[in-house]
Amino acid sequence: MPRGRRYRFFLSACLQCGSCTAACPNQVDTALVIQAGRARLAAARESSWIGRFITKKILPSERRLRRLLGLARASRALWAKKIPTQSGLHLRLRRGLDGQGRRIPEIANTFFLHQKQPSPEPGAQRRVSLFVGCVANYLKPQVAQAAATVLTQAHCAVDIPLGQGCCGLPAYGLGENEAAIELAVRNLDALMPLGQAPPDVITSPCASCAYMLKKRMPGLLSAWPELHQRAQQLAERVQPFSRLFTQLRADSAVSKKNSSENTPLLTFHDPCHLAKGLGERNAPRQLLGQLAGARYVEMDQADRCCGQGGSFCLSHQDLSEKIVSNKLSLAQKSGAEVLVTECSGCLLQLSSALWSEDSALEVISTAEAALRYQSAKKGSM
Amino acid sequence: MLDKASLKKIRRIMGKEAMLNTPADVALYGYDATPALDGVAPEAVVFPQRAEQVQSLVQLANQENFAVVPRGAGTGLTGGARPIHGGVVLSTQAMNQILRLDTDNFQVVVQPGVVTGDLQTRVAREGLFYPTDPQSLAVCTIGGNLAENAGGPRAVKYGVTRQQVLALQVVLPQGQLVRMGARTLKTVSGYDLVSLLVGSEGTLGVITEATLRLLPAPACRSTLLMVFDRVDQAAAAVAKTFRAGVWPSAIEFMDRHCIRCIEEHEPAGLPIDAAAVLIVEVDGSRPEVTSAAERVQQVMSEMGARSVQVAQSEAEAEQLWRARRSLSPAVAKIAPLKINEDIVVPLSTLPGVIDAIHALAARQKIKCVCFGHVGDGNLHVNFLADPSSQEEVARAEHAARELFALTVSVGGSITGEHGVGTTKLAYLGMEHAPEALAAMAAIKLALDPRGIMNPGKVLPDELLAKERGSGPAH
Repeated sequence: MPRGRRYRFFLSACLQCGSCTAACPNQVDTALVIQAGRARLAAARESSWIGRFITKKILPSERRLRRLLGLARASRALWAKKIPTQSGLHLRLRRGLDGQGRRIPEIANTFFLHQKQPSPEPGAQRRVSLFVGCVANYLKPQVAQAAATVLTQAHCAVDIPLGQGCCGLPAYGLGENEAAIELAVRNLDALMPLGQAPPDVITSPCASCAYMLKKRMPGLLSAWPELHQRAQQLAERVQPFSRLFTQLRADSAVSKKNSSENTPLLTFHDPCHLAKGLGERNAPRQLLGQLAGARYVEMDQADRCCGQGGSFCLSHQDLSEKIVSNKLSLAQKSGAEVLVTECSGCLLQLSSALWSEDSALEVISTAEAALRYQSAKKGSM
Repeated sequence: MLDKASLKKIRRIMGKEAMLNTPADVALYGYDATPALDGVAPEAVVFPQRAEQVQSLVQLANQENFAVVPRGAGTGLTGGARPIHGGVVLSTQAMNQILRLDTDNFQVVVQPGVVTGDLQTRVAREGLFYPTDPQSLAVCTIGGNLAENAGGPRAVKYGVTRQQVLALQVVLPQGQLVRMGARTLKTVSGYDLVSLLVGSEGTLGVITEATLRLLPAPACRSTLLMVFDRVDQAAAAVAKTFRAGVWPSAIEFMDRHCIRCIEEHEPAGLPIDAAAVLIVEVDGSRPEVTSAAERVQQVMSEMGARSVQVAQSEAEAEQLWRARRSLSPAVAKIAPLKINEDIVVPLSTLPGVIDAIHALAARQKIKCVCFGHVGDGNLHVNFLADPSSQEEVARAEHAARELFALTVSVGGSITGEHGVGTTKLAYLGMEHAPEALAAMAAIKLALDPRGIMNPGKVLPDELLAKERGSGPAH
């Protein structure tokens, strides 16, 4: 098929949320079809140059990414002040700052992978490798920190392999398969090092990273039998954070204490990659429902996409904003004070939209919720 | 091939926004939901809003000799919506209005693009009921249901789509805009053109408006799950239920492979060691439902059911129906290619037929799952094959042919609700005598002498060519 304007439009306008696959009697893996189309565009160098630049040059190189983010952090003071709407910078920074002054995410002072981690507790039962992901490493280290802390408390020996990088989903989603393969090999070496016993479980506070490692990485490496086999072994070990955590709690037979009326009310937004990609809908609800320091309420249409969709929120900003604002009003209607989710993309999308809507709602990850509301006294803030 | 001038004329009829013809825009209109059929993209897709636009398009198609292929939501399972002879796909998507809801006469007038599930929700607000419930009702359209004469679980009590239709407005293949049927509950004036059009799979005209019959909504429903250790007991229990004076609103059957498949992919708590289960639904007033449910339990126990369970709440009933609905997706997960047939047989032959199906699948060494709306004798038989093995696919196709021979031999029909489309053309002669097929061809040729309405579907091209040659000159 010719790669015309409409062809490119259709490929870029997909959120890759997986809803159509979930509804399809024949279970057509549309995400894979779209990805193949995007790979075709990427091979012909017809994808957006900015996406190509970020996914091929920046994300795979930790040094470049660090330098860029360092620069951004240093100059943040400049852009944090609202740039006048007439400024030409607006056009250039449209992706970060739109007409309503959308917020550029804050960059962490110390990246998570550079922070010193406590050594595992003696008597740990399960060896868990934590895959951090870009957002939790560079922008929201508190997410990764929370995951590491609660897993350690649950008697896991938490290892955070330093060689890990970006999971590769952004590159893969844009059809930049070469860059995604490079990252896959790197993560494979970090998470399943040759000559060492592999971890019992690999988890990530971000469901999109977990989805990439579990569902897409083996296929990406299928041309290399040895790598493919290792990737399959890796995939078998991957569990989304909420699934692992609820299992650990079930093992230790923690019974739920009744949450009192004045604890905060939480609701959950299903990340597409968790609910539809990994088929995990129960675990996060179970996790939140068992927290002694909070109460849980189900929001309407909890599994509707938040509109982030990787490159979608850049290439179709208007649509993306309409989708997220609908999502937020549903979350607010539920009466919840805290909106919990389990994906870095959703976290960024929801929190940046909340900021521009000036809402009292707070957005956090399941790992943070697990830490913050685990006991009744800590829960009341 | 449509030339530039024709495309321009079509665009003039439809308006600028209502015609698509770039390759990326039209590609997906080359498919329906039939597994393993390649896409054949149309030359253009149009989205008319008014019957007059449909009429002008069909008239133009007769002048310029291009095919017109009507399309609802593309959920068909026999390739009926694929434009195999090129031309224009006519989508009813923009004709999606409920025009009039007449609660005094229990009727609703709809455009063809109305989604079946939406219609049900709308009339339910008035305490009314549109019973036909194909499994794709969340997306499929009334127009598509009419063209395919769609059924569903509730057909056992309420009939298929045909039973819900009072009148139609249709653009015939030569471009005449006509009304047929009457807005009354009965009519015997003239030939029953409504029955001719319903189930004609878009080969005899485009339905542009339909008047449908509505029923008072049943006050109450009850759902029961019966577990059997022997398939023939379950099958025989179906007829026994009717003999006991109960008219269920649905009787669904699932065999052992179905149960395993569901429990592996979307666990619903079904017993994996059972040979078969029946899900029965009864509806009506509360006392009626209570007594019917009791009688069903009694009959099923007498017929050897290992256990009989009545859903205690709407949530429990919904869980049973969700299990049933998750079956097709679950089967799709275990089999890259499923050859999905929907035979229908006389009720009394069900036990023997189900046995024979499992035997013929075993003979061909092909995995086979059997389920369906057995209350009306309708069985979905899926032969599962690995598409990378030509030999296995050939064995599955052979099994399908044997299945049809078996069906016809007991007085059944090769398709209960999916239609002929293109995938069952080769088997039509097994069921119908040459004279009957010739009569069908004569009707098609009389109404559509140029062969522009959804060509290549329902009747083989060769048959039409032969009948055209032997018939009187037009």
